[in-house]
Amino acid sequence: MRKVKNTKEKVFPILVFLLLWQILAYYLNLSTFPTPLAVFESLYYHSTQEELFFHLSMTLYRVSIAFFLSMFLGVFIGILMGKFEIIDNYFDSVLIFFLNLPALVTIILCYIWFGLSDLSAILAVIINKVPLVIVNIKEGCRSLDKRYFDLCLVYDIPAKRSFFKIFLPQIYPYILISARTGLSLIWKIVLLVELLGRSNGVGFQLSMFFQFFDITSILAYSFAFIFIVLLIENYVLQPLEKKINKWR
Amino acid sequence: MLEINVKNKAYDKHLIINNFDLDIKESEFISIIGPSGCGKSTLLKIIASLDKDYTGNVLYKNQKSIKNLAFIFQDSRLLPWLSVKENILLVSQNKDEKIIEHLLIQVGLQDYINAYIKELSGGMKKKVALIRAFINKPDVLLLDEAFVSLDYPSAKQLRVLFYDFFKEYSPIVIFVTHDLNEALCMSNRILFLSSKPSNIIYEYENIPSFDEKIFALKKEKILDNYPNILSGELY
Repeated sequence: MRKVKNTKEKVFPILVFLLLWQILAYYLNLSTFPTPLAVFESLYYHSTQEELFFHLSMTLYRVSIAFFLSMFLGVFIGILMGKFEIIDNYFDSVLIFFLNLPALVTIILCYIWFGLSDLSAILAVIINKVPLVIVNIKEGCRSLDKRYFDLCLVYDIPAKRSFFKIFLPQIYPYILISARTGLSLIWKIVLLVELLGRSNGVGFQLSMFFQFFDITSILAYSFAFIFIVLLIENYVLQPLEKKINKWR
Repeated sequence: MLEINVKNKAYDKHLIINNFDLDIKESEFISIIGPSGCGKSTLLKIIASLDKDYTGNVLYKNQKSIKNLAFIFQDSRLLPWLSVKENILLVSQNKDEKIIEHLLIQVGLQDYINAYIKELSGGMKKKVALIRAFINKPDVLLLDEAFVSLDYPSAKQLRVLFYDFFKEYSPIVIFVTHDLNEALCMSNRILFLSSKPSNIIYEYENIPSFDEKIFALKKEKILDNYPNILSGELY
């Protein structure tokens, strides 16, 4: 019953938003401001064409690789910096530098230095995302409840077991926050990367539609990808969060 | 034989423990009583090697470390993200889950084997901590006010359970408490500590131990009077 109520609570604002949009677009009647119905018609049209799925899958492929590599590197470096003060002291200024490096600059530099390839595209996304993961994980390491580590010394718990059973579960919430914010950020950067230097993917298609001022298709493609991210959020990240937080 | 010699232990130049010297025989149950903040818990941390910032040494069978040690903390210190079974397995040297099941049956927690810690009452948590402490059949067991913050019947029941485990495994026990009755009832020897810098000011020895006649008589008498209270009356 609660689930049904939740769904209603979630869907209602979207319906109101679409309704207001429809009314506004209908009365303004501008070619650059299509109605939601026109956008959904365009989405339906594109979904009957193979190219939508091809470009979506290309973007998804880049997002996936960039996401997993960023998370792995970010968690690894974050743990090192969070656990060892000396490493933190040495690399903290480097971290601040990369945190403040504009995404656009990284993308341009990667394309210039490594060529217009998928490697450069994914590298640019990773360079943008990893510092944010590191900051989160570092924070997680600082909030560890050190009392639990007394058990390791008293009971002589092997390092591997103490890492997976005592250390890691305490930073799971921080990893999860990084994953959720990471997914939304990464796909936005991937679109930018594709727009600037790839010949396929949603970003590339958006640049094509932009040249023809085809706002309806731009919105249709964007909605298609937002829909995929929502699916990942609802069917992968949220169940994972529930599983991890089951003990709370 | 456990030899504890703490010459000096200080926090921020304040001397906490000074010239503390204690030898404990195998299977001896020692209680330590002293005013709050006198360094009783610090002493346990030193014995457990959780605090190494002191002068002196702790030797067990002439070795610098106690290989098979257990510690029951005041706060139980169970990991909330692990189940009861996983909490015990975490410290267990033996991966045989049947032993855990058997011990859980012994303390009446067999239905909670896969429960998370938040599902347990204070007394149940202490029982799990008790099993965790005894799972490796420790040589030395440290208890830091292990039975406080429990209601009276739960505390009594836990003492009886502890007594049964102690009889079965016979480790050296060092028990920090504020409760003189508890100490009198459970230990062979009681040490009274002074306030900072803490030192032994009085030693009360040769108290009949758990499995001696007097205790058995006490327990028997209570069970006669209250046959339904299996938890027993220790005082």
